[in-house]
Amino acid sequence: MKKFFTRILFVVLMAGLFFGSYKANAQTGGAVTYHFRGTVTDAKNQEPIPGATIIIVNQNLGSATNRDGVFDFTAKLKPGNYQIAFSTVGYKTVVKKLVLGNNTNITLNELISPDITRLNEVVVTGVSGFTKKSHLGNSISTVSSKDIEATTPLSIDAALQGNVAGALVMRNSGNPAGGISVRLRGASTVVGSSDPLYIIDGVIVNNNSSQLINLGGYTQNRLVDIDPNEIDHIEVLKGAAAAAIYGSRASNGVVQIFTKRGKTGKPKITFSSSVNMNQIRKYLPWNDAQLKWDPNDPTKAIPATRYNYQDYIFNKAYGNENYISVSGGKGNTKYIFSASQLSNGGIVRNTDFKRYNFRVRIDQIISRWMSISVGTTVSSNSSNEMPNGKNYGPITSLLFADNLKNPSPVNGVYPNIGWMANPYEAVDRIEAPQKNSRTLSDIQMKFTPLKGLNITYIFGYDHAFNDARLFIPVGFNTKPYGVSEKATMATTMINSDLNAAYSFHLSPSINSITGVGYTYQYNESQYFAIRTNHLAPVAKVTDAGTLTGRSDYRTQRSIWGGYLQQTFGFKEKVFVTLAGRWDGASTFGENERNQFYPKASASYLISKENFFKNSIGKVVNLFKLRASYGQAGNLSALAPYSIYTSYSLAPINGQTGLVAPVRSGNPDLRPERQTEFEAGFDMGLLQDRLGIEFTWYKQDIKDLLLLRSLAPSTGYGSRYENVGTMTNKGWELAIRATVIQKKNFSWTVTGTFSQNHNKVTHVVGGKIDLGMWGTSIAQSGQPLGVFYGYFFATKPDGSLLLNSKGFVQRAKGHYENKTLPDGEVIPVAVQDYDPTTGQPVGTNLKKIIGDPNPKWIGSVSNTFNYKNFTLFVKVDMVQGFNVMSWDKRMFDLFPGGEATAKELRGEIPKGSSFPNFFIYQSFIENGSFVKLRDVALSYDLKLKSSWIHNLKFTMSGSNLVSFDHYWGFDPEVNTEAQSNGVRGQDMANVPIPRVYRFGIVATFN
Amino acid sequence: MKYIIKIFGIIFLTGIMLASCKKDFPNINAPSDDQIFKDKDGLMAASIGLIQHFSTSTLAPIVEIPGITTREFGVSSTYVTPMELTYGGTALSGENAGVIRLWSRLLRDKGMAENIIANADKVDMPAGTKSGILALAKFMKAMTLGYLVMDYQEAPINNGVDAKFSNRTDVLNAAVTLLKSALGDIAANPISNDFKKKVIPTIDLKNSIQAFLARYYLYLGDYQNAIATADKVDLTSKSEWWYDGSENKNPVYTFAVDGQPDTKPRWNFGIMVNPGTGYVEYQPEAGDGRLTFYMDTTVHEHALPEFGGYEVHNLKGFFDNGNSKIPVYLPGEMILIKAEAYARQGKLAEAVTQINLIREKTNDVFGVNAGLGAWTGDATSKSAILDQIYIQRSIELFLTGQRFEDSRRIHSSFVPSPNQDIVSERNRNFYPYSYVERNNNPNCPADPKI
Repeated sequence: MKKFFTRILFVVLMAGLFFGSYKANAQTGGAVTYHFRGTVTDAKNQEPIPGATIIIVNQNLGSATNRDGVFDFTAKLKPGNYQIAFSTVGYKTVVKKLVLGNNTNITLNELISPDITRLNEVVVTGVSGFTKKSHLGNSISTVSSKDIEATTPLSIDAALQGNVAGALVMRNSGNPAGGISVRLRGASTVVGSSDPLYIIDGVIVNNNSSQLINLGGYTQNRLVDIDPNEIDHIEVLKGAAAAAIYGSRASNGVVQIFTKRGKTGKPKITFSSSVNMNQIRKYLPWNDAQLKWDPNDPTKAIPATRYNYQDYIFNKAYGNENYISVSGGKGNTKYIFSASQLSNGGIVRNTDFKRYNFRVRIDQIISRWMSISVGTTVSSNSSNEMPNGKNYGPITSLLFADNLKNPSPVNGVYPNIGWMANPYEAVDRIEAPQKNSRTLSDIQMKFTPLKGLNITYIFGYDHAFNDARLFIPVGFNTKPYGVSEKATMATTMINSDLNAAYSFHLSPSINSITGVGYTYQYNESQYFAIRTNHLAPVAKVTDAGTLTGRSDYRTQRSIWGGYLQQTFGFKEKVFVTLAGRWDGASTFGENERNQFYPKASASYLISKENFFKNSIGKVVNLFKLRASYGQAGNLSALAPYSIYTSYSLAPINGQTGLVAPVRSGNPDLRPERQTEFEAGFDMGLLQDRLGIEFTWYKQDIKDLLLLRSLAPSTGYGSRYENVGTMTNKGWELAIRATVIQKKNFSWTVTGTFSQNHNKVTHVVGGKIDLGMWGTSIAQSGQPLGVFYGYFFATKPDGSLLLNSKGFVQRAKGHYENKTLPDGEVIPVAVQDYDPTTGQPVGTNLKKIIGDPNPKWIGSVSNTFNYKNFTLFVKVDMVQGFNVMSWDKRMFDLFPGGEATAKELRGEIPKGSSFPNFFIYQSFIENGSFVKLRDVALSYDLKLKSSWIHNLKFTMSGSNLVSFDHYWGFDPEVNTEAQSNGVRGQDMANVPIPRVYRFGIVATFN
Repeated sequence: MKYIIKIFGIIFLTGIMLASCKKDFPNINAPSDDQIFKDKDGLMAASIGLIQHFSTSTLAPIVEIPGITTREFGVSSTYVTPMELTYGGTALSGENAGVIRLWSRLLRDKGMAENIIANADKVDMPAGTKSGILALAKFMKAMTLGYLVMDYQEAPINNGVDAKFSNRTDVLNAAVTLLKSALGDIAANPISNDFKKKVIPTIDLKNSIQAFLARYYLYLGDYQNAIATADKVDLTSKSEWWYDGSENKNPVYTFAVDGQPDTKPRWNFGIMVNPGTGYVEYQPEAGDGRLTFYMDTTVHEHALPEFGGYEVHNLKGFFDNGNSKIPVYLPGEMILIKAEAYARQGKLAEAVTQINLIREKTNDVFGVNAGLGAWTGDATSKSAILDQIYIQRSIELFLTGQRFEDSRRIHSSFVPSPNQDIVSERNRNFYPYSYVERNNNPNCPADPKI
């Protein structure tokens, strides 16, 4: 590892010296100093554009406009023909011919227009070098810093929410550092994570969701380390068709994040600051009856005092955020430094999150054919979490407790309220802090040794150190001896990528781009944990207790691969790409290690044809058809060493034994493989006032890895096998429109809609359990993670079959074997009835009772500009999915819930809600929601002062209203955090808070 | 020229990059199965691991699951697993987590023992160590076979893919054969001190094998051998599962004592007697020393009303601390085996003698001393004697996982109800098979009716 690192440094150093020494040589030969000046102006409202980039293409030369939209720079160039490009975020890039002759003073005034439709953007992800989006055969979504400016997301993955068609972004917990799941075009694996591959400035980053300490399923995911203020723009590839050249890491899609960079010009200082308040949006319907059953006459309710424990567990929480960046550049050097601080309280009492980020990036042009860029981000963050679960989770206790007891401390002592924890004691006395530090560094070198040949080398280094603790003091009611646990995880990821692209004209009408690349990636992780109890007083460290467990686990993994990609372009109208990637990884079986992933795509810009231009071209100014096919793998689905049957270490009595594992190894494992075909069109109407992108896709995943249950009589419990197939089919639509565009008023709408049908087409045995006590399953012919459980007894006509008391009851009967479409046979429930009473008889039956996969998702953002005011309104919709609300189940049985209140008040018969506890179907809820996700009103004080350029105030609210019929807190949660198969399960989850924010942004230069 | 230099430089860069790629990483965390069974150290470590797993993990469901079914424990939470066991009847299915846990842990240990038995002969090592390794693995396998058929109607004698099931007589006979073979191993080559010291420092293996042999003879109805073998067990010898209270905790302590357990022992050992008009709670005899040995009688709590609301006490005995040792077998069992074997053979007077040995015992090596007077019941009634033996077994062998078998054997005419039952002495005859077994093994037999 260390050796590898030093070697890379050495290489970089050598390369610098080696090429640097030829710098003088390379620049000789009749160069003339030219002086470029001019302005860049918005074509729509005639306002100057500050910060626009001017680049002389392929020459490493250029500058940026100042605050008045003016640029002014000199460059040494040989006379001849060049291209000059004007670009800035959110505008269409303009490329002009530049003929340099005897006149050394060049004046250029350029009008550029906003790119509402985003069809003309230049992208780099998944292609060889910079490519115009309109040339691609696959869809690619982009998110720019402007899209997220008003909403200030907490983390990078949250920034994708509602901005990318086909991306289902779910916050799994309302804790301030709670994890987020991103599904691009549905799940593509069962055992692994379906989250995409994240690349930040060329560094493949760690987005692990390791549960270091048992907090009842709750985890963070590591993208939370990175401040989203640093985002310049994001490119999203959603499936194998686009991402094949990322090989065995790409089947979940690829999200490439580009951070802000310095631009030539005077130092620009941006400062922003905000304060916010978080509150719980809705309480669980608790027992507020102020009654209890008379112990002497259990049919009679008598007055009693009942407490709303939620009033204490939850509180209003406040936060603030500050960000400052300094950027600029002179000559061949550009820089940006930034620092940010975030502090946010959680709505669960005594939870919070604090984050500090520091970043620096330097871009240095060494010679006309060589440049280097170095960047580092350092993040330090900490949070105070609150566990979930039986012995000490406050919300779990809330569900089980009878709220007749006052949990408040008496003389400093919290009363024992039964076998569940006292929730007040839990929030006040349990400490579950986490500390994370993160370093992301990259070195990028670009070479242009020949005209048309671009070579880049990227070395990326990502180191994360996570430290989690759990401390329960001595005397805690349900853990009287106290608990102290500490776990750390150190993760290092290195990637070393060499890519080259060569473009040239085969003939005047045929352009060729050839890309080749090689990557080597190395990951290692070291987990270390110590668990103790029986603590000494006061001391909190693990040394204070007796050992109950420990763990030291280290993994190493390497991935290597190369690709070759060839694109031909005909007359800038038709583009055809073929690519192949060879990949290998140390985690898979020796014989299955090397994998090949092909890709092919084509696009046709019909709107460039004359027949089109002359007919409907006046309305439809851009129309492109595209189709793409590709394969990619999922390498990270499997943890290292899954190919071995590794015995566990069992120290006892001064000796260390070896215990056979539950999971048997399988030496023949290979990566899952996704084959995707997508086709669609991009359309720009009314001179790009309206842009439409539509894509239809179909993904087939084969060699799906499943943890197959083994009969216990084999001596083992399970084994990973490539024994499944799954498909995703769907479409996605993005619409961007400028509805009104007047001098003082504009209204733009962005909408994304998508539909995905996920289907597990084959699992061995027909059905396997995914978690939550077998309630989330994968079954052949069903979507992944459907809910399975006991259901209501019904009459043959389908109506509810009530018992003698008139209450609902569980279905009973027997199972009959049924052959599924894939040939697997599973038992299917058949209800039986007693011939005389008509009541259910037989065993309790289970069936599929719900589906956590949404039918469709959508998001609509409106931006209204009136003079200096901007109003942003975003609505997110996730429709047609179920949530399994264990909270409801508990509250149907335990007296702290609304069901008991209704029984006490006599609104429903006593005992009528109890049967629901056993009928899982009774707590399957409709999760469909429409959320007013963000409303932000900002006022931009366009100051003409000499030092302050811009001052903007924003008032905003998030998650203000949710239109749903959900019983519990919020349908947008998941108890098993970032788990892939277990979705839509809600048990003692922290809901997503409503947030009010006030912020100010100032720019100085 | 300069292009050539540039290109050469880039090739040089690429070369260095490619050369630095490492592609194989051994698992340094744990050895794999193909590395373990090759030498003495691996086999010894596997033997230690087998004991560790059985004593800290498998023993928990062995005690807990039939303990709830036969009312040794009262339950005070509505967690599904103990609730379903408390209710019993046909609603208890192979999906009950307790039933699954008991089944899979026993088979996992059995598989480990089988791996050791299959490989030990292939490895060169001192004869006394080999005989220790083999005898221990055979003993452990016999034990898992016994516990399997104490709770399930049938079980596979040998693990494997699509393992075949055998009836309980065949399984118990296989266990007897294994135990006899283990005795033969030890007789041929006495266990080496190396093995004794490292693997079984707290277990008298020979005595333990004899004790289990006696137990299985009784279960099989081979009364002569049961008495003869029980007589060979040295009642002053102790064999114990060893715990350190930290990483290896007493498994019964973990679920029944630590923190706020929802499973606690019933105040009267959960014995239900049937005077003919329905079950009533057995009243322990005044001064029975085993009551205060096994329980803290000063604490009075109650199980949930829907589970009968029976009084429960805090557990003591072999379970009051995380590092309390649990006996592999209790010497009192040998006396009770003889009592029952005599009674079954119609030798009622000898049976009563043995009953009184238990009742009057004050010198038990583990301190399980009833300290009562002689039995005053009807010494001429075989059924009265067997009932007394059942009660004495229930108390003397409290929480050893045997009451399910005892109740079925001694009160064999009782047919559990298919409905919810929180009263009678057992609410099942056998457990259904784990659904994981059913779904993955075509040879899994039909579940018992009750």
